[in-house]
Amino acid sequence: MTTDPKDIFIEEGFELLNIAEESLLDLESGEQTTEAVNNLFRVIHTFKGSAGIVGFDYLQSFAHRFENFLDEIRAERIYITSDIISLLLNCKDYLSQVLNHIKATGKDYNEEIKQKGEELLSYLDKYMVCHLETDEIHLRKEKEPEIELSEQVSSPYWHISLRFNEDFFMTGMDPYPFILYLTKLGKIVSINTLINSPSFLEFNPEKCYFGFEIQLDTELDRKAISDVFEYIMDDCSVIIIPPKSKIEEYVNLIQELPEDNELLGQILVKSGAITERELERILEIQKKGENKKIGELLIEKEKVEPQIIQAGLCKQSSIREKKALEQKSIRVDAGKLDKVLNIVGELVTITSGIMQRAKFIGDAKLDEFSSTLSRLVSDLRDHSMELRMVPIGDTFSKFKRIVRDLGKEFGKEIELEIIGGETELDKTFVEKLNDPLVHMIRNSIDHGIEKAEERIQAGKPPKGKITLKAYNESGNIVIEVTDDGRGLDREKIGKKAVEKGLITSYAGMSDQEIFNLLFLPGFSTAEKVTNISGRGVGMDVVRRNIEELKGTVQIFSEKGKFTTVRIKLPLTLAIIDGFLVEVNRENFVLPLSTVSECIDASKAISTDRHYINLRGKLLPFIDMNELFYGKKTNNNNANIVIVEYGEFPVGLVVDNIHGEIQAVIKSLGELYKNVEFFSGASILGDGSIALIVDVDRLIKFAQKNCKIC
Amino acid sequence: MKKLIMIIDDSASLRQVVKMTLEKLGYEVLEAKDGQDALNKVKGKKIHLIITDLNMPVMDGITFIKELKKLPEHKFTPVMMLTTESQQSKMMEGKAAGAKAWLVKPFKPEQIIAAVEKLILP
Amino acid sequence: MPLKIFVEDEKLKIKIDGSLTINEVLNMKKELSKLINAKNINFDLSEIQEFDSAGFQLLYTFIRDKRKEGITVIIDGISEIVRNFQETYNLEL
Repeated sequence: MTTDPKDIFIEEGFELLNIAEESLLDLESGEQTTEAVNNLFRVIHTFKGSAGIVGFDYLQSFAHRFENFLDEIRAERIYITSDIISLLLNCKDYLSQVLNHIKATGKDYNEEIKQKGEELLSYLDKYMVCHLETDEIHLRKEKEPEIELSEQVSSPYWHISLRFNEDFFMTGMDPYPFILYLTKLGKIVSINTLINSPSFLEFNPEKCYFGFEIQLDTELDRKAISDVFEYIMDDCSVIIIPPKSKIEEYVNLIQELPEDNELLGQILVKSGAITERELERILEIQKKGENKKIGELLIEKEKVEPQIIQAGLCKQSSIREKKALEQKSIRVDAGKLDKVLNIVGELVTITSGIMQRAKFIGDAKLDEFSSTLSRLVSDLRDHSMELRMVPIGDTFSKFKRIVRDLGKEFGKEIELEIIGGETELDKTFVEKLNDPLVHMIRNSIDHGIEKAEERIQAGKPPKGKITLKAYNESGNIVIEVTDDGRGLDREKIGKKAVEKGLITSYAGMSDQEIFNLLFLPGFSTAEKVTNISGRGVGMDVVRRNIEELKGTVQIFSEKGKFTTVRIKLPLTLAIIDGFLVEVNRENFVLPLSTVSECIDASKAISTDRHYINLRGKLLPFIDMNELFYGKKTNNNNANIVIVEYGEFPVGLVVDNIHGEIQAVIKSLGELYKNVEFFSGASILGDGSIALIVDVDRLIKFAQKNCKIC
Repeated sequence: MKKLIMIIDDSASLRQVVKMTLEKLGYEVLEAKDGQDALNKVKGKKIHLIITDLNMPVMDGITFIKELKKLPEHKFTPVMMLTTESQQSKMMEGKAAGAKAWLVKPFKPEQIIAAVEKLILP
Repeated sequence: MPLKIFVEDEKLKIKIDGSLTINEVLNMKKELSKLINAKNINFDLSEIQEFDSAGFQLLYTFIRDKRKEGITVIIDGISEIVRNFQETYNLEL
């Protein structure tokens, strides 16, 4: 149990927020409204207090405003609508988000969080302001008799309003020195600069759109001030209002200036020329006159804003739903899961034993029980496999940084697109996929994506794109790394492979075959060894890693357009689809994914040479009896299982074929960990043991020791 | 980088006073004795302010301003006119031609400083 | 108006050197108008030696509109004269 008050607060905070959410949902369904509001208020109040005590000031301040809002609801000054409930839920989710952030970083805010907080608070404020405004209007009405029309404004400073003609710059003049010149007359107490330029597209940069509202503290007279603008009187409008002027002066000013009256009023308030109250008065006087525009504006504003809020909320509520889902999950130690899976594996094995035995006994009742058992165990297995599944999105997201950093290093601007981040795969995969993915992304950035100039010449956007995509495909998980770079150069790869002595000629090879050359050990197309991809680690290592995961890897590319590396992985590591064969009365499991076909050996084997003729092509083969037991297969019923070694098929001569099985993989343990060509063992339904063949290594081993293939 | 101001006047002593006053403020000053002389000197040059007399031999100030504004590089060069009280109509002409600022002769050095400060960016 | 536009760090960087005044704004607007696809824009204004209100207005309008579009515009560096304008005008770019 933790004793750090911050940790306790996080835990407690989540609990409080859960209660808050329940209350909000009660409110939404219209149940026990008063109680729900009170609950909500109390919970947020507690939350605020705790946050403050443990020192999360930002969180406290947000919670405080949230609480104030709830207090307004409690006092029935704000009425609950579905919009408000959505907003409150968003606030509550936001607090959860902040808690998560604290959990991850120990801090209660960053820029993003603050920004989002501001946004939410501004929504809250909108409702608060509406409410306050009405309140204030009442207040003002009560005091109305006191206000005289000849009332003076309270500002003790000169007010200068400047609006420049559009042609002002044409004379070679600039407002700037005039403003500076004002400081010679006195002190500029406040200045509000308006640039009423149209949108950039319509904007004529040689036209002048400047305007100023200035409060000037000076002992000088009106003439002295207006003399400053002597040169530009013809080219701009200058309105000078002395200190403590009559309020009507401002009424006229507002009417004379081109901006929207309300906006202008706010600017004047901001600059200190008039107070909020004075502005209200001014606007009122104006309204009485003939100008109904402001009122219309206000109404319009009220019409528009809820929609804007709504749009914002819709977006956020989908985020909220996702959040809610997340909160339903629990964290479990991966070790515990492994134990469960292990037992489930044993259960699968023993169940098939029981099935076989039941068939042997032939008791109908027992048969029925064992079938049911088998089905349940099979379900149990599937569900427990799912427990280990995690979405790949987090792993993908980590690459954003790598792409950014490497892109920078290479002077290439690259965007990373992530598709299918929600695709789930075995946790072990996620960990082991990291290095190969990093390598592939490096390749893409180094070799694939061109520099901006090159891209522009090729008619592509200057910014390169790398796409990480994951999806399920017929019981497998596919992960693709695609870049929209220059693609693979068939000729270059072919020549290189010949140079390196990997092949004798690439004429007549298909693109696919040529691309597969990249996976051969010792192949590197990079002309220069760069510190990114040239680390002596090639695609062969990537393939090695993927194959360790019982997966396959392929490359697709179109010159000048794209390169895709596609990784195909089984759903899980713990159970593989295997192909059971018998050699010298022992069982062996070949991963089904490596098996392409089976042929009758008696027809194919020709004398001593280790080649068979497969539909006119020479196919090397390995005699498993010879390899494992040192004697040649001498069996008329022998079969050849053709497995894919990379893209090159190799035949394995075996005594017998038993067909497909689901093999629960058991580790061979410490003692046998150096056995090269077995990746594990599996217990068969009858309790016997089958070794699982690592085909890749088996062939390598055979190559090395028997000079075959 | 010092800002460049041109003073155009047929009186060498006036030019000298203006020059000294402005140089003290840190400006670089270019002199011309009439409009034509000035036109020859301003071509292709970046000048931050041109102060010109209106009544000059060879080429008068108004003609000069009109010619100056035809030069694309001086489309936005501010021009200040030096006038006398009796030259109101000339001053209006000058304004129409594109000179917006003016200073009435005779002037004191402080006046020219004040005028320049309103027209030149720091 | 030497204008350098380059991409660094996933961001579009715009560096304006020397002079940005009424004499240059028309061309500058043309250059800036080309940057319609940028998502992040960083301005380096630290090398602006000559500046005026027309230059300020141009940058202001451009940045205002980009931000309205939701584009992040950041001012990386600012020269003394540009800073003076900001302070005098009480308006941040």
